Amino acid sequence: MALGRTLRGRRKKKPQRMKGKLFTKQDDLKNLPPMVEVTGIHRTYEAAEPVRVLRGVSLKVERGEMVALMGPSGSGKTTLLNVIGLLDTPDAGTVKFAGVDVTDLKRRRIPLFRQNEVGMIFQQKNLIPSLTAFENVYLPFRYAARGKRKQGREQAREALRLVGMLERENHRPDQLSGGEQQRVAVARALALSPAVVLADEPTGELDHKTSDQVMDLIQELNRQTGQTFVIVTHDHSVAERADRILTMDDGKVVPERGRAARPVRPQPPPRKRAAAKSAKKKT
Amino acid sequence: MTLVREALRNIWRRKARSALTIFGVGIGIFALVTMGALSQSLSKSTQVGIDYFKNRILVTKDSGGFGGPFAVGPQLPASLTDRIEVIDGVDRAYPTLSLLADRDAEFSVTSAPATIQGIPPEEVAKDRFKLELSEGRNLRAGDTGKTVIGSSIVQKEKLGVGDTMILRDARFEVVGTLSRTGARPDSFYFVTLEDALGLSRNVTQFTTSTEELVTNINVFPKAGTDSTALTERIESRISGVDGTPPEQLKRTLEDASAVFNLIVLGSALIAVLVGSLSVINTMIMSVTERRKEIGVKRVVGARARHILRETITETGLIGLIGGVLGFLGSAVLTTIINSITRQSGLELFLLTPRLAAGAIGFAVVLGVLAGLYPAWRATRIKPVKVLREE
Repeated sequence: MALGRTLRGRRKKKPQRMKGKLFTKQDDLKNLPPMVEVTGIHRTYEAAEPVRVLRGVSLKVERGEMVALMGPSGSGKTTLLNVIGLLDTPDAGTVKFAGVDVTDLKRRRIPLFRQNEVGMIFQQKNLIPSLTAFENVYLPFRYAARGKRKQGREQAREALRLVGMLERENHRPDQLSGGEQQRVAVARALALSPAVVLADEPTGELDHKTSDQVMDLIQELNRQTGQTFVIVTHDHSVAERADRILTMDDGKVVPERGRAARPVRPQPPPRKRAAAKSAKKKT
Repeated sequence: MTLVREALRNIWRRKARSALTIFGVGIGIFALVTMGALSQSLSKSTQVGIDYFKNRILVTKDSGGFGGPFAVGPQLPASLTDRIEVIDGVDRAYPTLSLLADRDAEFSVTSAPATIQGIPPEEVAKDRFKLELSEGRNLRAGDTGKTVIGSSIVQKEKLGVGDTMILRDARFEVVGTLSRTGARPDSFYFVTLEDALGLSRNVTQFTTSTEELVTNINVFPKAGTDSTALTERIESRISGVDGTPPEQLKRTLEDASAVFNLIVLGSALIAVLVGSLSVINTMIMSVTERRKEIGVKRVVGARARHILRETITETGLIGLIGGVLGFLGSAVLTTIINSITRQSGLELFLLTPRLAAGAIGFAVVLGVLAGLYPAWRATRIKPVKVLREE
């Protein structure tokens, strides 16, 4: 039920799902297309005076990369994140996931796409107050295919264990601290092993210490799972942890100057490398 | 189960509002069940009446109106039976005499006074319509001072087969008890016509009448005879009598029952509709309050049908809880009223399993229908908009 299924009929190569990531048997890992590629995105909000939020944004995010998006308020960071997550539709431009154009994905296929390929973390955590930590993390499985639902309980617990919240799985959000709530939100975003995690100011409402803890966690998960992270932030200390910092201003990405916080990894993480090796051996 | 558990939690989240909404639905279902039970009782009684009069013409004293089945007291000369029997198309005829067991008793909405029914046992035995015995035996020709009693009298007077009691100053022995019919025979003391005439003489001893007077004459047409035409023949041959053919009786009983049912169920339905409007109102408020939650669910992959299903489960549950509470309330009330009116020989309400299942099912369906509009609104929520809201 990966992107391949989401996009059935739109692609000639039949994609093969491997641990939540997108590969095809024919893919040469060294020449894989970027995980996220947006080209010439425009978005204008209709109002008495139309607001041009995005003015031809283009960027690429490689597989397993962690990218920070910075910029002043109103520069279009969140809108860009929403466009990448298919929560918002651009007026012009294309969004590609692993080389597949998802811009014109049919409306009924969008939830499936979001479920399988994108995990989202918000500044306000957006946990459902009537559900326990476990139930919040299990939420994506409730709407997933039956096969996934069966394993969902285990996977949700595994996600909670990863973020160190397994012991508090039966607590409701109002019984958790801000940092703990954000950890649960991170676990929810990761529960279905999405290819890309989009985080909008994940530490915006947290104090410095808790913010550090959450970012340690995100960084560790990025290393462990090889998932791609795009993080919108105003906080330089958060951005510094990313592989690359992109700055937006007035609806555009400012051309990159200087080096990234740490070099962009050209190769997928170990888990993917092992999978690729075995795939290569078969061919 | 997760779906139901979350719906229950959501209902519980706004306790006061949910309680008021459930109360609203409950009142509607309470009214529906109570009125429905009243209507069921009437329908059953009507059906017994229709079965009883199915193949007989009831001849009563011409009173210028419909009094037949409810008439009591000596009214017609019993000798008219012989004159009727010779009319072309009549198979057989027999008189019956109805007397109030308590001379001072009156009919009212909540009470049907116990009545003595004087019948010729040998003729009644030939009837197609039979009342079921629960104990003992039926009356036989030649019985004197014997009675067969209806179920309400058994309960009220605590009488059984072999017991004796006084009816209008005369001693009677109970030889049989009848099963419950839910209709007038439950309040009858069946005695032989001779015994009833004897009791009637006690009443009419100060009148000048020297004739044996009965209340009505049951006339059975021969097979293939048009009962309406036969009724007209009887009325034209014998002056001062009024005949009611079975078709007319059936129509009259059914019409009365239908009008009554329409009024009571109509008013109950209005109450239920008001309840369902409160469900719509509550759910619109809930959906508005939970816009952000719904947005989050859409973000993690919920489709419109998931949101629809969750909202409708919640309203369906409100309907179910309201329905069950409304039904229980009605069951308590009708049981109390029935236990009071049973003393007067009448069970006003008939609560059947079908009515219970129908009312609760109706409440659930209504809850689901009431949830459709709020659910549709919920599916229209755009996550990108609501997630920005503070």
